[in-house]
Amino acid sequence: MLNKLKPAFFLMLTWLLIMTGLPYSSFADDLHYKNMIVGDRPASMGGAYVAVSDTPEGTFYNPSGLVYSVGSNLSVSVNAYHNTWKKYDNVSGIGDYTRKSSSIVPNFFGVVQPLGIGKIAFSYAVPDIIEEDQNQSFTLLSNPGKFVINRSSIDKTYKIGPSYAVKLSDSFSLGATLYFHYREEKLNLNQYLLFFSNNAYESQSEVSRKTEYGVNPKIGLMWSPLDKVSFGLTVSKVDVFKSNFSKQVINRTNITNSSITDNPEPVFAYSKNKRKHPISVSAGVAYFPSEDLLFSCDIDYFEAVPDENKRAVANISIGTEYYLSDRYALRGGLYSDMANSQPLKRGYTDQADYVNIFGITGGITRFTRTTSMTFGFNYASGEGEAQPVGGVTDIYKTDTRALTLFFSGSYGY
Amino acid sequence: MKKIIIVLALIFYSVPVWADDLYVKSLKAKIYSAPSFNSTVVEVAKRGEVLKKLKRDKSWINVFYSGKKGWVSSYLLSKTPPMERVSVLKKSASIEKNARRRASAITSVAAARGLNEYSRVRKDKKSYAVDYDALDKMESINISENEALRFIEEGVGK
Amino acid sequence: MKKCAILILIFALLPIFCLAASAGDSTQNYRLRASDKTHKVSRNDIKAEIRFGKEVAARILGKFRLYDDEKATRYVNLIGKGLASYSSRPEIEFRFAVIDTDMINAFAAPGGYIFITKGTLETIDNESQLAGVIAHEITHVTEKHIVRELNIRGSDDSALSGLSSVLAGGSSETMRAAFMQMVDKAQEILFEKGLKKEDELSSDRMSVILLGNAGYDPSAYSDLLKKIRDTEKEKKNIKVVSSTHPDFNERLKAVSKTIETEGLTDVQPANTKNRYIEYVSF
Repeated sequence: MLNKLKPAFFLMLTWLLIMTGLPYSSFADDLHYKNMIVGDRPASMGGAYVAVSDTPEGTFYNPSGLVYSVGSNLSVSVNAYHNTWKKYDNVSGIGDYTRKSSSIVPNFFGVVQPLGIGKIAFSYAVPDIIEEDQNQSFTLLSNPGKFVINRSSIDKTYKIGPSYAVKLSDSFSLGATLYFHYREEKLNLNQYLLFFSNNAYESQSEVSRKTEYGVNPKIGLMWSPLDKVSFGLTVSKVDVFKSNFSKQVINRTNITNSSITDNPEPVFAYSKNKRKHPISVSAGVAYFPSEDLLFSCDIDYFEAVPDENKRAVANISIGTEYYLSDRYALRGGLYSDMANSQPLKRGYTDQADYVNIFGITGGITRFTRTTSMTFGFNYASGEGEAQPVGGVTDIYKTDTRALTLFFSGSYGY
Repeated sequence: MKKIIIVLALIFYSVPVWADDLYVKSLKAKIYSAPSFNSTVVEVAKRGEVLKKLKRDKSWINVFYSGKKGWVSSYLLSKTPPMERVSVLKKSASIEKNARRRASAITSVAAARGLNEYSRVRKDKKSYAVDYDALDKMESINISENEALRFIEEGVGK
Repeated sequence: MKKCAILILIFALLPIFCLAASAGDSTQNYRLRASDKTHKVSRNDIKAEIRFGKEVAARILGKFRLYDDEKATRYVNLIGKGLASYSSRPEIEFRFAVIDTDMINAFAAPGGYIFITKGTLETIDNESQLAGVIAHEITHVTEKHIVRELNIRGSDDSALSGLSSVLAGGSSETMRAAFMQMVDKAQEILFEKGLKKEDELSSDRMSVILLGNAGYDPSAYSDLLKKIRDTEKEKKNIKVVSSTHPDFNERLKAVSKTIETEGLTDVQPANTKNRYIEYVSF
């Protein structure tokens, strides 16, 4: 019976099982730099904040802007609902693979106070948090059977640390943030393949975890050469000083010539390799025509990291803020979130997903004398190519969509 | 997607530049034919009225009012409407008097701690005097803005 | 994709290059948004300023007696309130008094309480010069020079809301002590330290324009400064104005410049001597 199975198909399935466990495709979203937009005002404005940065969120975007914050203030932002959806079209003729994630996470907290000749701040930011779940079951038709995949992964990045900013002259300011960087990735993957005719099966279960500790200094400048115009520049890099990766796999099968080896004992793998992060340079310009209106535009550039097979990326974002009255403001923005993976080459196998994403944001804020409250959204979508199936040169179309609803508050004192 | 971005970017930057609305803060604001106090008066705007700002030349603003164009001194105008006169009750308890009364409560406590009232109440030895009766007299002079303005206009011959 | 990014960048930079550039704002006030309360003043803030000004005024009156001349006092109030009607603070009821001292000086307390000395009235000789003195003090109030100088940091960095928080704080002893300290400081500024030079020069400039708006001859302001300078030279023991104000020559220079640049050179001088003599006599 088993001999009747087309070898190629068989091979493909087993590779499918193994390859979906590989690091680059299991840890979402290592392939983009703008996963969540930090802070409420920047998030409603597409993240175009480098030349504005005059609120606690400046600690993340451009610390030199903190000198222009008014008095002391505090800002908290929560992503109330962050939902992503990723689809791989018609994989291996089996069906569309979809992965969903949903999370509620506080994504920014910052406090600014005057200190000495400048301003001191402390902040906590979560620029990326993806919790993905894939629970699918496919019916195999040509050789009756079923394939079940349960995959759950978490990838969270946290930044926490102080910032300080000073005015160097009337039109020039300088600031720095020193974040402690922590990233945690976890994967839990179970795959099970069963052929009904002879109860032949393959099952693989994998648990892996990676933690990364580093420092992330950011230096920023702000320059206002003309009235109502501001230019901002930031340079930032993450340096990992400690990293731990561990993986445990249990393969079970009753198929004699399967490509996985049956072993009731788990197989372990470890690594202390430190991930290399790119230097990122962001430049922004903001124009404040009146107390009711603000336009800003940023370009974020990330250098290529050949060791991680990452290409250089430039993302652009534009944002606007309009006050309907002294009590209500509307914000909007557009941004790009380009893939840092290489475009897929024909004839190669096991390449990382390549998807360029574009997003639109909006928000409404209500003010009182000392506080503000914001509700906003961020909708992003992208199309691209992927090779979710390992070992074959087949390239599949992939779609991704994400919707984030956030709310936040701030208090000035 | 590219098209959407371009269209939206165009919308953002084609927001019309609204002419600034300016409010008259002074009782009367003379609108001159040229940016000079010597030129002829085209119109006279009153407090609270709105003028449309066209352009600015130092401390003069070219405005549009009542179908006419002219120049007004920027010191008479502002972006926010004028507030109504604020008054504070004449016979409000003087904080100073209360401070004196409360001070005695403090000094008794301070004395208990071995401090004397001079070192506790005033840091420096400067004494100060106040005259609330003279203040009342100063506040009793009642002249309306219109009467005062007419007085000046008579004096300068306008 | 790159073309698209460049296109967006051009759109973003376009507004900047299309703007007529004015000098960079050193305080970056352009960043203040409509919701920022620092430049929004409420009625409570004004009430706090007036209450504070009353205390400062009461101290001035405690130091100097009121000059007992109803006619002169009424005259000063008529000119003062008339000039104030041209000011940018209609919410303030300006009040004027003449204080009995030979010193040549004038004082403005927040909330619109303005004092002119008998010595000043003796030195000047026409209504335009009197208007100049009064205009200068009015601008100290409209520009909130003393309040800003006191550097009271309130809940939102606005000096005035600091005042209202101190007064609204009510009966607490710390609040009263803080309030008294502020009044002490105001007194020090008025009688000893003087205001910042930029504030004095700015008041000079605005006074000249206020005179023009009211119909007075702006050059009377220069005459006024010259008169005070010359009188101080004569009566060497009454050197008060220069101890609390910038140097006369600097002020005169700045005033001539303002008169020239603001098109105030050809204003017809009104004859304001007669009325002055009628109301002010010693």
